[in-house]
Amino acid sequence: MKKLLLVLMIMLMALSFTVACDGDNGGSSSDKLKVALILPGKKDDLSFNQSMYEGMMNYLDANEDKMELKVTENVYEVSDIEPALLDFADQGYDVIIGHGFQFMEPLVKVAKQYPDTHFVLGTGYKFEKNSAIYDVSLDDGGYQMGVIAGLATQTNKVGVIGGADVSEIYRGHEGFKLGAKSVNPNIQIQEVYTGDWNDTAGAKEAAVGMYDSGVDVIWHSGDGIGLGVVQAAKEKDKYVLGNVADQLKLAEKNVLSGVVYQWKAVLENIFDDIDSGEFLKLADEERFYWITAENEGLNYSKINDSKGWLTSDDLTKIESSWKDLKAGKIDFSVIKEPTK
Amino acid sequence: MRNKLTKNLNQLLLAIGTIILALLVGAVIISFSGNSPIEAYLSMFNGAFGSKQRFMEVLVKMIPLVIMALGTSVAFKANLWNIGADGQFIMGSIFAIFVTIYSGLPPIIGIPVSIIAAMIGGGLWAGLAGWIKVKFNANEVITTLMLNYIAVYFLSFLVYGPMMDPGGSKMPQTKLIPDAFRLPLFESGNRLHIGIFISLIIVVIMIFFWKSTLGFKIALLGQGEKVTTYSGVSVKKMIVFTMIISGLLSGIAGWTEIYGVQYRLLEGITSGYGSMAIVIALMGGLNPVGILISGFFFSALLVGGATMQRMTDIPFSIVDIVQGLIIIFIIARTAINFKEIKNRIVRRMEHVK
Repeated sequence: MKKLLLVLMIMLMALSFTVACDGDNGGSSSDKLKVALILPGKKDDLSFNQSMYEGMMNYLDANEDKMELKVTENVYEVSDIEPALLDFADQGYDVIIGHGFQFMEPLVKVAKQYPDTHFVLGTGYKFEKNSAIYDVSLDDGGYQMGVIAGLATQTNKVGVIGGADVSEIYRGHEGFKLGAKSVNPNIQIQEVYTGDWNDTAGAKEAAVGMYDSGVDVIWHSGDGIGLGVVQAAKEKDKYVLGNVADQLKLAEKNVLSGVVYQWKAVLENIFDDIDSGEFLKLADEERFYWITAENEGLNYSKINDSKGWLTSDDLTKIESSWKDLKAGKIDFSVIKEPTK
Repeated sequence: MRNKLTKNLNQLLLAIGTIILALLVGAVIISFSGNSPIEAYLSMFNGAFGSKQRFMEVLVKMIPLVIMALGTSVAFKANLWNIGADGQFIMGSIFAIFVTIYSGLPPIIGIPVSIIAAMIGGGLWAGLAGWIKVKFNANEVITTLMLNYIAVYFLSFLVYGPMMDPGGSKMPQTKLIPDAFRLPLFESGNRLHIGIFISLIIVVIMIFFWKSTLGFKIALLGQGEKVTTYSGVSVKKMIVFTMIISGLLSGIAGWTEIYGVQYRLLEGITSGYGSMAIVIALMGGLNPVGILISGFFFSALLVGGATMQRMTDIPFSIVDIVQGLIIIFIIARTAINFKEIKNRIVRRMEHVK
């Protein structure tokens, strides 16, 4: 009776065990660097994921003979992250990239168990001897957006909407305020943190509220919330400034410009360090690879002034402020870290 | 004895038949989507059994799934459609971690207390649905489902609010439980923890449970309220009681996931285990050993599907399709009621004789 079932089950388990031991295809076919990129969203999201995907693809095109790349999308649930990392490490991948803050804890944990594998984390602060972090110094980008918004506004009111006031977003927002005030000292700035990166609806509500109160240019600092802000701009026919990837396609009449991340700038550094073996010996502070205006990891998309609010004088100012940012001439020391 | 053997064998064959049918129909759908079904199933199989690490991951997923399915089966056997295993899982883990983080008990006392807290959390949550049913005659399908939402949002409130890890840069999660409270792992490099023994022990307990008077009373409830009343058992008490037992098992599942895998409370901790548990319970014929087998099958499907999605371009939705097909076939099986058909054939054949 039930014994039979039990026997069957034990046989089934034993069978799968033998399969498990036989089926190991650990040996790699070539001596290329095996790289896995794990994205929390879709590679064509016109945002955080797409910027990394494109950066990685750019790098791959230039180095096709040296590496093979596996891209995995939509690993968002925390319970999926650790198995994915473990599996790639176990399959003999040399470099594993977790593109997002939520990868930090599992990545550090798995990195400890696979000391010969290189782990790379997209934004965060914890690391191991075999892991590093790439991040964005968003104060540069925010400053430039502030300058553009400050010059473009007709009502003297601008807004900024973000997901959560974690470090780099906070710095971006403060940069925005500095930039806006640098060209327009009496400007009124409204600011909202939605508290959730994917709260498209909430962000849209916030943006509609801002536009209704007279704001005519809003910069958003990323992801799902950004889509909501762009939608609101389209409905109210006002200007929006994008972030991460060029979002012009979303609303051709309303996207004035935006910060564009070019991760390729740091990917080259990271892979050079991995190739030379330096990666495992980096000092703690060297484990952060920043994209900045200076190293051209940050840029702004072409000004698309469909309403004609910017004068040629304004455009010159925008260009010169970018030059200053690239030369590192802007002083950001007034920004204080967020108080917890 | 012989009768029982053929009955169990029949059930096993039926289950295997259901799976094969689901895989076949699934294959047709996969080929419509432009992918190769053979490639999909092979990479799924390889994804679940292709390496030791992957196989261990199957066992890791199996632990909460089997325990939750056992919990679900208790209610189902009494004809109580408790579909709130997710909520009970969440309340169990909240209660358990609350005790661990705030009581400051040493591990020797703290661990057993946390299990009991998990049982209380899960049991109360399901018992509440039972009580509402008895008191207001509210359908438990709706109440347990609604209680799921309450639990999910309560969890969100806690991890975004009062229980948020102060050092975690505003991630929606609590701080980690101390090392001494975590269930030991078998080896580093994979996540299999000794919770697997806990799930096996619970399977054994459930085998004996169904032979006990209490188990018999619960099964009796499933035969209809009148039967229960005639046999002198209070229906109302039994409904609440059955729900409590059902929920406390899901609470234990939450406990194993927190103390064995995640070490903290976080948003989205159930990842849809509850609906999977329903399928596993039905697939296993509400029988503990059957649930163990179907739990193993479904966690292989889950892990294999996730790996397949990582390694190939075939979407994970295929797993959802196969799972959905299995549910449809199980429901069809119950609705059509093969026994009736078989009896008719037998009767007719006897007439012929």
